[in-house]
Amino acid sequence: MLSYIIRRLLMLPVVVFGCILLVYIVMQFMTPYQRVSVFISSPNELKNTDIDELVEDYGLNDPAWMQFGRWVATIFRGEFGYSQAAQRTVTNAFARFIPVSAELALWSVVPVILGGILLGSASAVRHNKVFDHVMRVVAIVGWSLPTFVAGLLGLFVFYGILEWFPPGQIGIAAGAMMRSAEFVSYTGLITIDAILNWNWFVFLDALRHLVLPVFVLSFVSWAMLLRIMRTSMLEVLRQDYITTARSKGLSEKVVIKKHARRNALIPPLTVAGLTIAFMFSGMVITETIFDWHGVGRWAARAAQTFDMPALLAFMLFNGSLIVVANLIVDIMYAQLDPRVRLQ
Amino acid sequence: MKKICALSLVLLFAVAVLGVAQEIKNPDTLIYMSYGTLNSMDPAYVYDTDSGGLIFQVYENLFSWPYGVVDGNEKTLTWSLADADLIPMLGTVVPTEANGLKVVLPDGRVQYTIPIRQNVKFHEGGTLTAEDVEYTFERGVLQDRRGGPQWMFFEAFSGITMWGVTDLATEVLGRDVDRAGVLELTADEQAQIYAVVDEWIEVSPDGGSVIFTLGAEYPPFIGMLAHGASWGAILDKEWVISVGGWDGQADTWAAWYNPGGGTAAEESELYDQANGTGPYVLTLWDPGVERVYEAFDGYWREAPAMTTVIHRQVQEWTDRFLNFENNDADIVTVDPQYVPQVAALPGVTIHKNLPSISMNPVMFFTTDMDMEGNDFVGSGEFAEDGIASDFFNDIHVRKAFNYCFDRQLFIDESYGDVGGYKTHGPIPQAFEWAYNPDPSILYDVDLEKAEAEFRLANDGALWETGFTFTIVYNEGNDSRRAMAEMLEFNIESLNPKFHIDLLGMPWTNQLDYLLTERMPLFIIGWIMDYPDPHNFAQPFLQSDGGGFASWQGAYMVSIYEDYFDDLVAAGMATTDQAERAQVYYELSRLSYEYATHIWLPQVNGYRVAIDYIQGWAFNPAYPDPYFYSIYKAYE
Repeated sequence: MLSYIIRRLLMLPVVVFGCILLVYIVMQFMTPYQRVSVFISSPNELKNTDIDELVEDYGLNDPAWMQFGRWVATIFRGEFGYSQAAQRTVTNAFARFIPVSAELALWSVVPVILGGILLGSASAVRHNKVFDHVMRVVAIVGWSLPTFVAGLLGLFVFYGILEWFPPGQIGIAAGAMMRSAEFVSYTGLITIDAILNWNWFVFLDALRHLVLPVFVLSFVSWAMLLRIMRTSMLEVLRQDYITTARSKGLSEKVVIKKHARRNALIPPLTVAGLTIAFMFSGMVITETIFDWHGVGRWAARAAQTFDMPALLAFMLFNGSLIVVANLIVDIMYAQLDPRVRLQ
Repeated sequence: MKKICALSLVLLFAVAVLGVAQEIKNPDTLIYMSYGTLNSMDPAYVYDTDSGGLIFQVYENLFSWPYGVVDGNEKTLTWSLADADLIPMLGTVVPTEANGLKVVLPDGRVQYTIPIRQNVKFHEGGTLTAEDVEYTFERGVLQDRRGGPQWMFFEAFSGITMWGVTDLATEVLGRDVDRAGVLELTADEQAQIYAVVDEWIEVSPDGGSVIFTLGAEYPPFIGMLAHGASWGAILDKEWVISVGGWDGQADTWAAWYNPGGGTAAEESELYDQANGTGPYVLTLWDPGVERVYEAFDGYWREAPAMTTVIHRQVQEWTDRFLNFENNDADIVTVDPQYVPQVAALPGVTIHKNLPSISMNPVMFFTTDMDMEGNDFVGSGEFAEDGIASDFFNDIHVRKAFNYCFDRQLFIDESYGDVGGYKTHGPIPQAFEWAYNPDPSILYDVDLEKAEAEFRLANDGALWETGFTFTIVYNEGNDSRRAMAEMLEFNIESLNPKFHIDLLGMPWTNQLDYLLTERMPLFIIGWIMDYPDPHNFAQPFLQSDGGGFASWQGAYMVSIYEDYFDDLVAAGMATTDQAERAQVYYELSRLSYEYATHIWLPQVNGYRVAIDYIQGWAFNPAYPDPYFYSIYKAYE
């Protein structure tokens, strides 16, 4: 197992390098003037700027291999450069934005797993009954509904009309508490920090702001997982060993939990692991609609403005995340199915 | 399973209960939502509205533009842009020839003496002195970051012969000095250059005033000092030095020159810290997310009513709208197309027909285009499927295009509720003394005249041959797309051989084509640096004014050199408003005669005010809402 893990982790720099190189090659199709535009935010600034001098200073006219080498060298020095899109260094940007996205992802995992796996399992057990039909319809709706539509609709109804769940990460009063000297930010995740500070007002306020974006973010994944879990469970329930287990006199609860569900988990778990890993890059719509300043939104803005340092660093981050997520899924797969040997 | 569902419902209910509305939410806190990102907090460095908005609250200038109040109760506007109406702030008297504080010296130089207010505290505890003022402007001028605003002071102090430190260094040292060369200046050379700057800005012998000496008459100078968005904001010299800024010595300033090459804002020591005399202290800056201000308890005037101001950057219109609707935001930025949506909200008033000081947008012709790799000129030949490099060199073509744009229709359809006005050249309507709505210098839609001009173009060959090219507009900008569509429709209706394609493109892509003169028509706008007509005449009509005129190709640049440059300079040679107004009228008339641009209709300024927000200051020169005067009350 250990050697397998090490071998897989050694693939990480290769995969990441490949992704970065791809982005870098695509960026070279842009002219130096296009790439220098990230430094010019308004026409007024052009008045006292020699653009050619700017291109020269940033080496944008240098050969691609030279520019790439320069960037790699800075990476090895631990410098990831400055993100114009974030108005801070790339390192600071990650430190600021990852906890925001992580908080969304963390709370989304719960409904994705619980909703998708448990409800999918329950739906299969109640095959063709009312519960099953309702779940199938809900899953199709969730799967079909675009994220931005669900988000905007949710905002209009639950905030615009009901004033229950506002956009943003935190309210005014809770924000003031967090800015006070008494509140210590340990993790950057507001709900976790609120618990650690034993501040339940901030915790509940943060939770209130989480409801809609978590729902929107997890709904599609949840619906997809429910369908996959249901199908997988139905297939397992048809197996001979399930019939054998029942005929041995085991209770239905034990049959489902110990025999059926465990085996049915393998396909949906694979999907769940990758879904959660892809969440970071897929959060841009949710973060934009609900005004959460996370890493997905930052990456989208960086792409729009050709913010190279931010884009390349994000590729590093995202590539690493996917590789690690794949590895975790494979390990869990091996744990669930003893027939699988990691080699 | 059931327990989990029940617990979830209870939890949901608990958190929802927190949202109980109050009559006036957050009575001591003002919440402002806009979009846009702050570049830096260094007053000498910044040149964008968003950064200026922060500096406007935290710092103060020597003078300030007086404001009227546009709020829920629509109080009378009393704003002004006239020097005579300036409010003394850190300077106690506005210098004029009448009060003897402005003196024209025998050699033509102009001196302004400004007494400095006593007993004014900075946020970090220092006390304002004349030395702080001297240091502020010397530091700004010697910093002169690339792409920054200091060119204005060079123009003023030098008598319009210099644009930056490199020009000054070249003149003083008698050799060419570029930006890289400035960083290599010896201590002695720096001292020589500083000696010139020191003459421009001095402390009076009694230590109570600052004396500015200009190379020649420069009408906008006092207005530049007043403009509450960066370069005129007064710093605490001791504090700046303590945080790593220039030590004020004659032979060391080059180490602080052009920090970060003008693009790495974080290289300035004042990038992320501020210490002004203003009514608010910045207590939190989360870049791109929010800024928090707290009232300054040592402020030299009456304390502001709002003890806390939270300025959040919210890009998504839906979020801003819903927050505003629920009174979780008190002031939000509303783009013109969303005005009808907010107008329907209870308690909201839209204040229309407010002056705005900008020319945004304007459509430019490019002459002598670069055809290499040009995707917008069709075949690149004088043929129905393309245009040649000199397509817009022909004045008949330029006039024809002008006659094809229906300005009134555009105002009615695109600016709608907010309204707009037709422009007669580069001077905004807000400059009432310089703006001349003479209809004889306005191209209004006339398709018959357009056809007549097209028939004259290229000695009649264009009408028979036809053309095809692409108009590029800002992607996502509905107004500019509508402008392009209007031109396309009217032009193509004249002759089936005339073809225009449209392409939306992000600003980042446009910049490349713009600088390489490959866009046949480009649409761009100018936001004022300081409220003076010169700041508009120069970028649009001066061949080497560092503005847009220089991107219109060699032919158009030659027209500016021959007919406009001297006039632009003449507009600055006198402070007599009547004389200046005549100059700007002549510039507009010449622009009409040579059809240098398509002067597009400009949107009127407007304000979206909710009924419990009072005291909202208005002056078109202000970069952002002025938090100081605002309070919350139903009146």
